[in-house]
Amino acid sequence: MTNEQQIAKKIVEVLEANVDSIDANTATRLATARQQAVSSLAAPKRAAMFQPVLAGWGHMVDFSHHGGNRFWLPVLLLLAILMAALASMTSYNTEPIDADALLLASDLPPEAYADKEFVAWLENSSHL
Amino acid sequence: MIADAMATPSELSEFLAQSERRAFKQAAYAVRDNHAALDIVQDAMMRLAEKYGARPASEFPMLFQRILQNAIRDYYRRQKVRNLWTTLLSSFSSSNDGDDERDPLETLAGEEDEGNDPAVQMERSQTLGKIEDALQKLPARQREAFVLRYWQELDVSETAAVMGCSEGSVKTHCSRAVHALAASLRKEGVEL
Repeated sequence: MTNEQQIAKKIVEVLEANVDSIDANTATRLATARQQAVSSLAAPKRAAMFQPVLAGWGHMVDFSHHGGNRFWLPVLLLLAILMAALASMTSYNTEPIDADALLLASDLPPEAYADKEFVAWLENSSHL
Repeated sequence: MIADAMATPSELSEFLAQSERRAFKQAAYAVRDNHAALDIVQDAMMRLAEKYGARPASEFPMLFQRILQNAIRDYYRRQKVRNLWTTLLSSFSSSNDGDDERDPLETLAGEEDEGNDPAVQMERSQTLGKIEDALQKLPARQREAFVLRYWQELDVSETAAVMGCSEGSVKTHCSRAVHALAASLRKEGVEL
């Protein structure tokens, strides 16, 4: 140990011996601050305790994971397109059924709707 | 490679309990104001927990010192701005409210010793007072280097990382600090 280090060591020994000599109020405030700091660390950890539940699947839906978006975004888009297509097909298929039911249930014969004169009469009569 | 485990609240608590008083003393020597020193240490504790709580406990000493030293430097900067405004404003007003004056009785009460042998306690207290004075008179960077390197026992590279300077600068600051302290104490009649 060099002379410089020896002097430093002796000075530090005196300082170190005085570390605990602080007034009660300061000691209390330091202890309170420590507890607050520790509780701020403990709070997120409690939330993190629930993460292992999703350990098996959680990583698959974790979009923040590096590269996750690359895989899941196209899949989600494809699903959305499929759902939209299915929905539109379903609504398209129901229209003819409804139209057929109306024609069959109507008092008028189906030919009447193809008759232009009848349509003209219908429009004129609606104005009356 | 397996990363070190995240620190537990009990590890953080244990580290802070060991460090808080020393940190308070260091801050008090640096800013020469116990209330400000207490605020600095409180902020440093919260910052360590909130920003670096997920780091392994082995990294706490260096991280805490870095936060603490940054907080002390921030305090200096704020004081500099405040002093500038005070100087500017005092040029318009000659009134002096004496807020910053110390109460001698309060100072004496704070320095009161509790030992059994009054003579020994008196001598120790005087030595400590002279060391504290000498430490406070050091340039900020020298004091910072001395405290980190010798009191906190960080190695040269860690001290350089905390101070944001080269290892060579750390060695220079430490050497000058020790020589200045030794000279100052010798002048006061303190034998080391």
